[in-house]
Amino acid sequence: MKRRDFLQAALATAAVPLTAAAAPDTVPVAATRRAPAIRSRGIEPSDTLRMAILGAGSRGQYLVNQFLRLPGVRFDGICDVYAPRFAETRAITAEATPTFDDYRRLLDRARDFDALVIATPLGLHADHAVAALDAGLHLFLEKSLALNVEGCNAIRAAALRSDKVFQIGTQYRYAGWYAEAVRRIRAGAIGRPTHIHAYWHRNYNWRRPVPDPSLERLLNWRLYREWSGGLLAELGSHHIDTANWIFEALPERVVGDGGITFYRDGRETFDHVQAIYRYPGDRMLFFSSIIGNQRTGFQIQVFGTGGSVELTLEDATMYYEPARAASAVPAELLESTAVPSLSTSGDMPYRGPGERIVVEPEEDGDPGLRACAAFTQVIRTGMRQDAGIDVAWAGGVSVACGIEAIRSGTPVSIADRVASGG
Amino acid sequence: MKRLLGTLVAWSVAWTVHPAASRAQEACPGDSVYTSAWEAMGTRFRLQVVAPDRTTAEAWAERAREEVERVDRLLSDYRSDSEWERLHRERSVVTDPELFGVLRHVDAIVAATGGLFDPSVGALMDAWGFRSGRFAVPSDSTLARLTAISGWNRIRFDAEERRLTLPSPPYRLDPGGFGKGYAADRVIGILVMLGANCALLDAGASTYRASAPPPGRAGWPARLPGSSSDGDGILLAHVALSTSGASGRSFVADGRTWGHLLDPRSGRPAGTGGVVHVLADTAFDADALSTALYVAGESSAPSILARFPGARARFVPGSSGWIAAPDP
Repeated sequence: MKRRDFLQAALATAAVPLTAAAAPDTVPVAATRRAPAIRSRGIEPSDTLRMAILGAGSRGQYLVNQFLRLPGVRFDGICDVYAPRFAETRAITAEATPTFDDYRRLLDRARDFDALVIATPLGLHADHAVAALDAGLHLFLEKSLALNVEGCNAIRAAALRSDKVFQIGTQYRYAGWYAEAVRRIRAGAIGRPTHIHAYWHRNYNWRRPVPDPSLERLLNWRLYREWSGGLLAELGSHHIDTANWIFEALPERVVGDGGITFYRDGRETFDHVQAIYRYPGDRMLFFSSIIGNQRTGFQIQVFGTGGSVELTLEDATMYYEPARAASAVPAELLESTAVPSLSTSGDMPYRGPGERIVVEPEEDGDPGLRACAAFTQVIRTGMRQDAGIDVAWAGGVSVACGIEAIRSGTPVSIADRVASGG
Repeated sequence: MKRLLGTLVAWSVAWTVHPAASRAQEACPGDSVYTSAWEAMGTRFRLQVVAPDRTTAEAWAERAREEVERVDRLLSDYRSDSEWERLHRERSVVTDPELFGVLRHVDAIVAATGGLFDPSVGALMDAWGFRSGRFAVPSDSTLARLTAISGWNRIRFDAEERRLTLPSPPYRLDPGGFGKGYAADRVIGILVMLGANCALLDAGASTYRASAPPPGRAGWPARLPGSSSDGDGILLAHVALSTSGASGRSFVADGRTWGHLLDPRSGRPAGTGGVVHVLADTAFDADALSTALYVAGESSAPSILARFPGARARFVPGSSGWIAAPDP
């Protein structure tokens, strides 16, 4: 199968993104728009895409490398305020890629580029993304969308007035095992999904080595509130986006808390956070991230009335509830051929095997690369997007309100924030 | 965990000092050696680094772990999300400059070793069960067929598009002969850029890469695996050490031990036991060269070493200690 065929097939069968019909009435979520094709601007799909990177730290360099694995992509600009990033990124492009130390100078040359990748600190996303879209560039923006609701709305408005492609970097929208799990959930495999418990637990201090103390806030921006939403934004944005995807809705409100208990080293963002999001219909997402114990790792447990799904960074596994006449298991599942996999005595946790989801070879592979491939394919062909501005906005607003809830220690009504424009 | 140097060098053995260790002593960023170990790429990595304090050492070790993980996602033949497996799944891919460069370098080593180092033995590795662990001695006809379809020169490199094209299955490349060495080189290079210029990284003791030695020492002590005496050691500075032998993945059948280092000419496990140690500038070259020399045997070693300036080898058991290329 040719590469384009496989991508189109993969995207055509992926689950639908958040749509107006699925969102609560108070939330102005636009229907997914069809992205414009380069062809319409007189550029053939076979032409080389000229790209630039804004924010060439570790994530930016990862994205440059991923895009260079795609046919017809080259990088003609590297922009960062920290000069050592130029040599590091040129080592990845393997050529003397032009460099810029101010994003405004880069955007002055916007006509030299087709598309921009932004991987700057979260607090800078709004300024950078709006300027890039207004400069007429296709934009791949690293997640999350913005640090606050105002920033999310500004980027959304810029994306809607632009005729260019916008994609957010929540790459698990492009993971084959996620897509298949969501397909099965939509088909009723676990009954009605009601609760999601999501974790990203790690055991390391999240601190980058700094060659000089004067660079601490620049290189360790994730640890400081001015530019960072902390663990909820940098790690939890994946889980929150996945919950929006599965529940097909924007959460209504969020409560959260956290603290610094492992690393009292001057950092401002918490080293453990917990947040509870309420979705329409009293459905709930619980998210936890701690960085002092990694036993739980990354996992998303989706609980439904007839079964459960466990999503990890590498696979997905289905579990089916025992069919009992008096239980919440839907009648159609009682009759189905799904073999109950839970058999516990007393109330011990189930520790047996489930049904591992097998991903077709054409949907297998690194979601990060598949996300980058989809971005270039959308630009070239105008096919439908899985992580466009609507998905990005819903995830971004959910994350921004969660950050506010955790920092303030008080519940935040997402519906009110959205209705009041921030 | 803090370990003072004095405790590290309490080996009651005769040390070989590699010539590179005799260069002028460089300043290290501290006096204490910190050790960190973790599982990756199917082996146990261990980093020893001179650092000013524990927090800095931990940050450097975390950066090292990240880089090994990144290289694993590039070269692993065990994870479906690696670039290596994408190449094998799609057979013809535009890849990043790094993988293209890595395989170009392999290409040069294959040529320099006259094909005795040849990672295209993947299908043969599968037939022997060295990848799955389900060991079996393949039939002569299977070996003949798979040897015929193998061969490094069947890969197509398109430099303009940076495209790699493999022949159809079961043709397969095995990254085992250079992947851990490349990871070690990358880690040491990054640590030097961060100011951690005195470090030793080892990947399961079969591959070492050293930068500058600890303060006041001529080199980092390393054990030579598989050597005759229990504690035969060497001091390493600005050099890589790799050891190849049948002692790693192997199985016993038909009354003999079959090791995982295949002779690409026959498709059969090479050598008759023992090990070969190689010192070279990079762990990538040391890993590949030790594999090639294990296949070649001691008598052929000097002519191969001649293509790798500065490299030396020692066969155990063997007759001649450390051997190098003959003077031109």
